[in-house]
Amino acid sequence: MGNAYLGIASFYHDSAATLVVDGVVRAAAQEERFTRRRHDPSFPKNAVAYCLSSAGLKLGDLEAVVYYEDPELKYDRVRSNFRSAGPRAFKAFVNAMPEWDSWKRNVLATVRHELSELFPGQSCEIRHSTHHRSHAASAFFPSPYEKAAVLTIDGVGEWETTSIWRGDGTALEQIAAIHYPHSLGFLYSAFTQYCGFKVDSGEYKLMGLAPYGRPRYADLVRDELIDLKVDGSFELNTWYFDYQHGQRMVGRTFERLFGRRCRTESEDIEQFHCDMAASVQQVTEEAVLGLARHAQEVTGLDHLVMAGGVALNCVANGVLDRTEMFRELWIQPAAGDAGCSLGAAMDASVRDMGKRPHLFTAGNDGMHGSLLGPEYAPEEIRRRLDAFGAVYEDHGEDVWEATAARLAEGDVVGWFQDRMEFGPRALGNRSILGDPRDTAMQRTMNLKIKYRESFRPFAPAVLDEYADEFFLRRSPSPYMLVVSDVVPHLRRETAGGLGSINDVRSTVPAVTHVDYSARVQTVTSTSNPSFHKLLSRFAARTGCPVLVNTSFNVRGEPIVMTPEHAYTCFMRTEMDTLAIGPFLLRKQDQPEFRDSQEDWRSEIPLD
Amino acid sequence: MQTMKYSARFVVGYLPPWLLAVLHPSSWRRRDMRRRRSSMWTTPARRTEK
Repeated sequence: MGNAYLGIASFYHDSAATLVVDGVVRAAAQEERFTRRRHDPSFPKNAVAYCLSSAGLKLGDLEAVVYYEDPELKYDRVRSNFRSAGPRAFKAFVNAMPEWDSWKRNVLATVRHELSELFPGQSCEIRHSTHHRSHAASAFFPSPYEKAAVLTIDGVGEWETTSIWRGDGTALEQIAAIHYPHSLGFLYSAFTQYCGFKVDSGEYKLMGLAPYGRPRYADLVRDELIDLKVDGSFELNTWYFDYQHGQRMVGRTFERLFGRRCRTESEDIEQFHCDMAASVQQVTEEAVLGLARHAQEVTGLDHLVMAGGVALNCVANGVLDRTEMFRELWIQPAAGDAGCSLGAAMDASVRDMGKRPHLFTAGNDGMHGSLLGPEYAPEEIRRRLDAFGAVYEDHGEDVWEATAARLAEGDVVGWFQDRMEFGPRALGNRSILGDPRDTAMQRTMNLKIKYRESFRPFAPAVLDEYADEFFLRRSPSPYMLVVSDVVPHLRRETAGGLGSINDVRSTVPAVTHVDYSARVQTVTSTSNPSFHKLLSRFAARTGCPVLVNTSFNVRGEPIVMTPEHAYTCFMRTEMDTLAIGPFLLRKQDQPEFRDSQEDWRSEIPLD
Repeated sequence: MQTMKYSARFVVGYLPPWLLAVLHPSSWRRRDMRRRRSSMWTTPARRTEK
C-alpha cells in the first residue's frame, strides 16, 4: 500500500470520511448513511472504519489524517462575529461559547481522541486544511482538467464564503475571496427559512419551487438585500439578516420588507412563496455568473470547476453552462461539506505524490462515478434477505433484463447494486426507478413512495448517446448537477404556475419540470456499467433510453446503504419491485412485514 | 454558574466594541450598505497585510 491519507469533515453538518491512496480516491462515505440521521454532524466513526477496512488499512498505516478546516481561524470568526453583533447576540454567545471553549476550538484533540477510541493503541499524524481550500481541492484535483479556474461558494467556512483559485497540475493557488458576513449561501438559506423549509437541507426544495413562480421580488432583493458589484463580487445588507445574532437566518426586518411573516411547515405553499423562490433563484444565478466571469478574468483559463453548497444549485449551473463562458464545466458531485473530506485528503496526497494519476486516463475524472461507498456481495445479500424471510428470485446475469421488463410494465423499482454513491445524489446504485413516459409517475412516486410534496420534480437518467434527442445539453452531466431543457418538439403546452403540477408537459412528463427543464444524469458505460446496461435493456424494450431516477429513501431519511435498509424501505412504501444484486423481489410475494419501528413516519424528521 | 460566567465574560470582554456600535447613529436606522465599496474581493496579499 502506498501513501494513504484520510480526510475527515465533521461537527457541523454532513460528516464524512474519505480515503485517498497515492492520489487515487479509494473510498468515501457520509456518516448519515450509517447512523440513519440525515446530515449527521457527529464524528464519522462508521465512515472512517469503513474507509480503512475497505482498503485493509490500520490507522498507523496512514501518512496523516487531515481535518477539513482550521478550528482556530473559525474560532476567530465566531468571536469577531459576537464582538460586532453587539447585545442582540448575547443569548447566542452564552449558548455557543462554552462549546467553543471546551472542545471546538481545539477540535484536532477531539479528532485524536475519537480515533484512539476507534483504533486503540494506534496513532498517526493529524493535521488540518482550511474549509475553502478543501472545497477547492475537491473540485480541482479529481477534475479531468490539467488547468482550471476554481470557484467555491457556500455559506461560510472559517471566514471565507466565496473563493477563486487557479488550479495548475498539482498546484492550487488562491486568487481572491469574499468574507463573512457576505455570503451567497446564506442569502439562499434566508429565503429557504422564510419559505418554511429547513436551512442546510431544504434549499433544493426552494430551487424546485422556483419554476412555479415569477421573479416579482428580484428587484427588491437587488435593491435592498444584495449589491452585485461590477467586478462580480457582492455585498449583503446585513441589516435584514439575523444569522449574526443567533440561530435564525431572518427575523422581523426581513418579514417587514416582504410584507409577510415567515411560512411555517404546516402552512400551505402559496404563489407568493413560489415568487419568492423564483426571485432569489434569479438573483443567485446573476451572482454566480458574475463570480464565474471574474474567475475567468483573473485566471484566464477556459475550464471551470466548482464546489461548495451553492454549486449544488443545478439550475444556476445550467444557466452558467449555457452562457458558454467556459469551454467546459465540472462540478464536484459531493459539492457540500461532505466533499471537503475528499478535498482535504486529495490535497495532501497530490502534494505528496506530485501527480494526479487519473489524468493519465484520457477523458476520465478521478471520482469513479462517485461510486465510492460500501458494496455487498450476492451471498451477503442473500444471507441478509433470508434473515427477513424475504421471497426472491435469483436472476443472476439476467437481472438487468428482468428489471427492464418490470419497468416497462409500469412497476416502480428499487434498484440496489454495487457501491453506494458519495454525495447527495443517487446515481443509479441506490435509486428508485420508473418509466418517465407514465403520466401518473411523478404523482405516484411523490405521494406513495417518497411521501413528499407533490410539486417536487424527478430527475431523468439517460443513455449518454441518446441524451441530445431529449435534452438541450452542452456537455455531459454524469452527476446530475446541471439542468437542461427538454427539446422543444417533445414539449406540451401548459398554463404554468402551481396549478399546473399535474399537467402533462412533454413525452417524458415524469421528468419534465414545469418550466420544461430537467436535472439530467447522462450515463455512460464507463461511468456506471451496470446502470448503463439497465438503461440499454429498457431502451431495447420500449424505445425510451430514459428512466426516472430518484434516491432510494423516503422523505427525511438518508439514502439506503445496506440490504436491510433497502428491504425495509421497499416494504414500507408502495414500491412494486426490488432489484438487489442478482435478486428480484415482488411486493405481493413478500411475507407480512413487521416493522421494528411501529410509527416509522414520525420517527423520521421532515426534511 | 456557567451561564453567569459567560454572561460576565460577554459584558467584560465585549463591552467596548458593542457599546460603540450601539452609540453609533447608524445602529438606529436602516443601514444602506449598497455601493459603499466598489469591490468585496480580498486577495491573500491584502489579508496578510491586515
